[in-house]
Amino acid sequence: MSKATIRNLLAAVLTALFSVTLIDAIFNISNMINPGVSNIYNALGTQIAPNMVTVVIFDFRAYDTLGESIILLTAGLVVLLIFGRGLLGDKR
Amino acid sequence: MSQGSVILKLISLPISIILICLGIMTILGGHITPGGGFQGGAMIASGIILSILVYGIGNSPLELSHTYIEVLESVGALGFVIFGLIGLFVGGFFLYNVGADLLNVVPQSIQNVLHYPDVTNAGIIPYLNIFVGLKVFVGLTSIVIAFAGFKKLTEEGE
Repeated sequence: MSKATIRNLLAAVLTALFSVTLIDAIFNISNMINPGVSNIYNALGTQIAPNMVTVVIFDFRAYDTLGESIILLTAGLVVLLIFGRGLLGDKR
Repeated sequence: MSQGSVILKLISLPISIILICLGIMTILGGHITPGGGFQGGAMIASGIILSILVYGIGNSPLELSHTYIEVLESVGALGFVIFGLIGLFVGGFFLYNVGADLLNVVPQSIQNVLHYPDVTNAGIIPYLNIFVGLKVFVGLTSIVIAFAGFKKLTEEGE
């Protein structure tokens, strides 16, 4: 047996072992998931509005949305600053 | 920048108007249906951008003036922050949902003012949707208007 054959055999055995472990983990993953804070969000969010995504974006994480819209404002300002340099205002 | 095709010029204004109406519908139904402020604002902006691309910056039928852009952008940003400050002063923390009031800390009179007139208990979410929609619409449109205007200015300068 050459070295390459041994290496291929070892690789095959290890790949099989890894895939069996992975499949086992995926099959049993539903027992390990803990919903945690998601239960609270699902119970509270449906009291507010039917669309959970909007409730998360505009109520639970409205601060994030504020920052997101400020990013857009900054993008517009930077476009005006960089691409309009020398075109607008006084041309000194 | 404007395209010469007659078919394009005939069809793009109705398509732009339909896109703008669809965007307004998406914004107003943001708390019930999929979509929201950002998506609806992007739809309105795409309608106006289509019109600008086809007709050119000078003679587009859906032209936004400088003052208009300025006012809408400021209203969008300041409205969001003001609603956040209302939540801060009335409910206790920034951007508290005063209309829905899950913690029962807001007086009933203030809650009735900011409660969205709807069967849902959405509170200030639809108003924030409208503000973000305005901001996104004006932001995206103003960038395209700026690019088109800079191109025109550069061509005139040469």
